[in-house]
Amino acid sequence: MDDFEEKLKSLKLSKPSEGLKNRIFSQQSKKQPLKWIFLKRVSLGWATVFAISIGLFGFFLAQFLYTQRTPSILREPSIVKIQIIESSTTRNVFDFTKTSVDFLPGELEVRTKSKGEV
Amino acid sequence: MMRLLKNELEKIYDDFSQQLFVCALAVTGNKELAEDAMHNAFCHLFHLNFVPQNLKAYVFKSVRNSAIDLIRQNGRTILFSENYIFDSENSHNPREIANRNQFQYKVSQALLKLSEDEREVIVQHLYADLTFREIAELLNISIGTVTSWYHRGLERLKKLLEE
Repeated sequence: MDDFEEKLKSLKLSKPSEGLKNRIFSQQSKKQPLKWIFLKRVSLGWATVFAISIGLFGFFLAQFLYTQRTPSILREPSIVKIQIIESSTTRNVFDFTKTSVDFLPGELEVRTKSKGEV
Repeated sequence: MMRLLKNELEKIYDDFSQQLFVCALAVTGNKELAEDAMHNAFCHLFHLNFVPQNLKAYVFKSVRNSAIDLIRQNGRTILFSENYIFDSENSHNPREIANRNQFQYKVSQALLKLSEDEREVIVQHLYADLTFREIAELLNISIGTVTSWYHRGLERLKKLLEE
């Protein structure tokens, strides 16, 4: 080592801060398994595979749930009450010589049918 | 095994923290980033599931790689601090302090004018006390290349300081 190297070597070097050792070693003594999971680096390829898998899983789950729905044919028929305030026609409703589908004022109970029942 | 590794790592930190810090500084040029690099490297080392054959060399490599990662994450926009590698001198003589601080500043600035390879090799050999063989292993290059970078860098440094 020549004089120039000696002169360079004699310069006072920067030191890491006092707290760094504490920051490194005290942190490790605490158990932080979850934090480690988030600190872990994942390659772009693995991240893509993971994202696609999540997407496919979601798609198949949605498909499964859709097919598992109660078919409309098995659902309880619902009854709707309709109140007719005004007659739907002005002609004589007691004229039975002609067929009609007119409703008189009053209450009407309607049982709805699903598509399969019709 | 983890406990053993932790004790060994603590010993390496106690023995070589300044050298590791200087190695990280040669890459980052910034004290905060150099500390972050050391922190990240040791966090990684704590979770190793094997004990490296040469732990000291492995720690130096990890710190250097962490420093490079941090620089990449910051898009190489980190500016080197003015007097990034040295600490201010303590002496009873104010003139001596001024002279040495001025020399430190000149050396810091001259080191910045060297290539990254030359700067890193000079810092690792002169200030981190690594042998040329250790540096060659660390940088994954031949000893011949290391010595060539070192001597070429030293010559350039001498010329820059004489200017």
